[in-house]
Amino acid sequence: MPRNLSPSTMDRVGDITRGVHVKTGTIANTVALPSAAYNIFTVRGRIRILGLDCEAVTAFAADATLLKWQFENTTPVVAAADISAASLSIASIPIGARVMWRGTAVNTAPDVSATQASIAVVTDYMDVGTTGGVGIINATSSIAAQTSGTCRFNLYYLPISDGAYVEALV
Amino acid sequence: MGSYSPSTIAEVGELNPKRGIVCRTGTFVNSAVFLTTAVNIFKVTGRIRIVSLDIEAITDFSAHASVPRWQIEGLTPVVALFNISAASGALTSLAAGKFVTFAGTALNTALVIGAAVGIMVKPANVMDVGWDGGSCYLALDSDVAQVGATATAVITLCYLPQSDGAGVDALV
Repeated sequence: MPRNLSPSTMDRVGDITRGVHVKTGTIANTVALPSAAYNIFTVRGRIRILGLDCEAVTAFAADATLLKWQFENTTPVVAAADISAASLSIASIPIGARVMWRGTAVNTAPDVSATQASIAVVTDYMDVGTTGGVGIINATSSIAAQTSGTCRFNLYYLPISDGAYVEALV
Repeated sequence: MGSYSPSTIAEVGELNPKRGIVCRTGTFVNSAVFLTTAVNIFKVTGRIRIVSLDIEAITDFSAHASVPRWQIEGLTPVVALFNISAASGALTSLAAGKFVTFAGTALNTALVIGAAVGIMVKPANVMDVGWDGGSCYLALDSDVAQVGATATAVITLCYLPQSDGAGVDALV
């Protein structure tokens, strides 16, 4: 039977079942994937990441860029550490395809979708941040800079410490 | 993202089986909790499923080789202390922001010391503890005491109730 749920209600159902969703705006790949670290989310307190991905808003360039994610504590200051290994090449992934963080271990490579269908849903999670602290999740690209295309980053999370939350930086 | 208040975001987490209900201790001085004998940390009423259970260093630990393990002591009915994990490696000078995580795989699986500050990998398994209609303590026995007044920590338990009215209270 069809349910007459408003879009905002459906959003809330999603928040409950897959975590709170925060996303960046649309970013040019030349900015977000320049073969260097790029800060995407601020984490206040400690959160549980249920999902993290980079979505192609328009098709990516044919540059053989690799992508991984890191977490860096800024309060207190601690150097960035990997929360994934580098992906395989993200060259030429089409609109709607995603690079998906797996969360199994800090050296687990993300999946790279060649189509708009995700290969396997992420089932693991990982906590980042500290009680009362502030940190940043960054996307670190390597090997080659993307020279065209646009992307968006999505994060799905649950708070663990009191009042913890995430803000998109871009 | 929905424009939620922090309290609403917290409630969202309670409905998700990858987190459940969060019960946390206050920030405590290590010398009060990491002792040579068991210290009661949580009181469990009924039966719960431990989704995650971890120690978070709020400030650097002292240079003492504490090796905590989790235990249960039945309150109603009375059941003697028994291990639900093996001891961790030594927590000597554990850095602020690191986690020591209950793995949940077996009663003799050691706690896992995180490699990086501010990052905690998902525990390998969940474990059910307690029993319907009864109550017990979740206790920490560290064998070697932490000393001093500056080392501090927080313990976080994420759980799902399994029996009617099950719940947890922090005792620290």
